[in-house]
Amino acid sequence: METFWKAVAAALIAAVLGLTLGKKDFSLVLSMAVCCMAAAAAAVYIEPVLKLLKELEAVSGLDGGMVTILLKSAGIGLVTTLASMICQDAGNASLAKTMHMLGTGAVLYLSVPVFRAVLELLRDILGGI
Amino acid sequence: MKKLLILLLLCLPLTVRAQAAEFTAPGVPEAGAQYMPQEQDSFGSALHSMLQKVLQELRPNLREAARSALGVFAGVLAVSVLGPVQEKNNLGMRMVLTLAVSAALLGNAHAMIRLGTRTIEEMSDYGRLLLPVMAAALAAQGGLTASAALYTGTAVFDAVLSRLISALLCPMVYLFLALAVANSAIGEGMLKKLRDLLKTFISWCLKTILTVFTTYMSITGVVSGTTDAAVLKATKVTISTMVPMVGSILSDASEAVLVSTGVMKNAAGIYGILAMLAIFLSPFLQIGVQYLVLKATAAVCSVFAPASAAELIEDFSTAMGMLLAMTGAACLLLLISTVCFMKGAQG
Repeated sequence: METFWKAVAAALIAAVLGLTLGKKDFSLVLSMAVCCMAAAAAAVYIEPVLKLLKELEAVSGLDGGMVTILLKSAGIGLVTTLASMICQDAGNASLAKTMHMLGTGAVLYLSVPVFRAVLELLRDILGGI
Repeated sequence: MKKLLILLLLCLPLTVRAQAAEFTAPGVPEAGAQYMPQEQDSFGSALHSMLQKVLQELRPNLREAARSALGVFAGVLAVSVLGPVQEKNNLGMRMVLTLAVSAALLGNAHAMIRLGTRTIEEMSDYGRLLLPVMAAALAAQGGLTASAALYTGTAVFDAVLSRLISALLCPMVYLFLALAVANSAIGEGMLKKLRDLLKTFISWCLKTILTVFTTYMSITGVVSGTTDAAVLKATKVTISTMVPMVGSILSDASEAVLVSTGVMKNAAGIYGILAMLAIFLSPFLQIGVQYLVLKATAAVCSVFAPASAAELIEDFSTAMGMLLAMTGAACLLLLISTVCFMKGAQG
């Protein structure tokens, strides 16, 4: 939990520094650096969750590819949201929207195998009705 | 000489061959044969034995349902904990989560719907074999009016219910699931309302048919039972008063025949009830297990997952609930009608 408190403290200090220094470019770079640091710190806490997911995947007999796709989608979503917010902080709303669109496109691209799996199921169901 | 001739004339009816009627319930179809109890002396112990066999066979289904639920739980956890799915505008993440849950649950749902439809067809087919036997037995017991009225009512309602379920309600369950998936992916208010409308319609159809059926059976049973009881009483009085010397003996003998017919009818009825339960119990409990496991999964996932995912899992559980209602309704209809036949011409 020490890492957690350090990350929170770093984020708060960066926010205060950003306000007090008044330099937008410096504030933006500082925000990006602290975000990356906090994400690295969060990875420490997410690791046991990933292990739990692996165990659940083994017990449930779920297709390994499915969980990987979901994790990748979740990661892309997270990174896209962070990037979009940083762009908004920089005052560039159009870039923020584009980030959002890029993330959605990437997630949908990744989910094509899941679409196909559902389509196969629907073919079986409709064939059986 | 005269006395000898009269004695010979009186012995003539003894040359006619004695006949007896037999009323046996039709054999259990293959689906339920494995669950039929070996001994059927006591209804309670027979039912207990049947339940034990069914519950033993339920373990693989429970395991399969639990595995499927864990898979859904893992998928929802992967996305919800790591991804910003809570954001309303994150359509891509929402669609992926919906697809993942649908891919995990649609296969099972389809298998359960087919199981439910098959069970209803089998019960309906068995009912078409059992009810004529019960009607004939009731008619032989003296319940002519009751047997005709009960058989007509049961045949009509059974045909209507089984046809309604196979042609309309089961496809509506698929439509319900499609709307639930679309609502989860897109979050459109209109889709949610359509989904709820379907659920209400299915529930209303089943309740209405069962209510009308039980009302019809109650009224018919009372009216025709009273009529038949009055006719039987009048016949007995007529026999005992009109036939000299042996009238009361004949009346008692006919009473004994009617009681024996009643015993055979009730035996056939109890066997028929056990046979219907043998067909019905295992599929009903399998669907019930799916329903309960999905309900529990939705409750657990609602803690950390977005509302759309928890709602979608809940909708799959609701679909299983609708299947339970349909199979339960079909079985209840046949059980009630069998019991009404067994109650017979007692008013």
